[in-house]
Amino acid sequence: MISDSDIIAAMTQAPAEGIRLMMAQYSEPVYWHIRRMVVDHEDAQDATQETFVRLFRAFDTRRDDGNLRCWIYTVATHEALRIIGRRRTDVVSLDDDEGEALAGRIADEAIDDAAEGDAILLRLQQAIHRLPTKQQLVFNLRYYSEMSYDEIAQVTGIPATSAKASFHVAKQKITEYMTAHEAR
Amino acid sequence: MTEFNLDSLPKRMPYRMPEGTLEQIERNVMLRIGESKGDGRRPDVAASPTAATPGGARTISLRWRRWTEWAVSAAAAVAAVCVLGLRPTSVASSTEADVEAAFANLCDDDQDFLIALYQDDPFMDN
Repeated sequence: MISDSDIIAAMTQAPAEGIRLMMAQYSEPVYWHIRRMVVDHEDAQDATQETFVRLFRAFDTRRDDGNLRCWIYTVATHEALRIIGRRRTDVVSLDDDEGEALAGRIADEAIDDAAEGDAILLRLQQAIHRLPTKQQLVFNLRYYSEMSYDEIAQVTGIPATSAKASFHVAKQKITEYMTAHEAR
Repeated sequence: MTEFNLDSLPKRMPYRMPEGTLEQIERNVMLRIGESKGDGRRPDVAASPTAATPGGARTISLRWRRWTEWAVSAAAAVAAVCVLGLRPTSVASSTEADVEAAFANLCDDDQDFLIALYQDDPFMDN
């Protein structure tokens, strides 16, 4: 287990070694965090790579008192949102209904990559992708990444109390969707 | 109808990560950040691969430096087009001073990256 303080020390003294340590510890969780948002593997891989390149180049400018994990997830989130935003500009006009349909189509395309017997987990992803993007983000950070609301606030820039409310609304919407579309 | 219970599901994803993905990510990141030494120091751009050659090393290193400077200037001009939004026709008419100014406006990392990128470019060999 590599501690954040070890990573910070290595990044300061030997950046190349430091970034390797950072990737050893964080590349997998960052990849999954991004992939939960963008779905597509290649987009997730590209964004993960871009995340660590940006972290390497911006390391000297980060706040010394900042939480390393939150900083990493903040940069990763920006990369995921950049990809999602880029997709939306490919559509001439995108209102909320079209956005929801787009999210639904993206989740449907992932069925081909799904492991056998994961139908209910796929449906859960479809339910999550029907949420507004920021609500998806809060839900994923709380449910999958198991962050505290204070950490979610650092990553998303929204108040911790808003993050808590957003999570509970998201959970309620997901529960309603999953109940209505019970797996057969 | 039984209400769905989110807490009853495992927290794994229904997608697979292709084998070798994490290794590929690390490889690509290290290439992007231009690692040439294990201690993380930036590539030594002053070193010539022929500097150790006795007799003629001075001539070779001067020629290497001349086309390296040309390559860096050309790369800086291209970077200026992308970064400063210059129209392509303005690149052809840029003076050497404009190219140097554009290169100077790049951050240290980008300058080092361009130098490291083109110093071994086979198409730059005279």
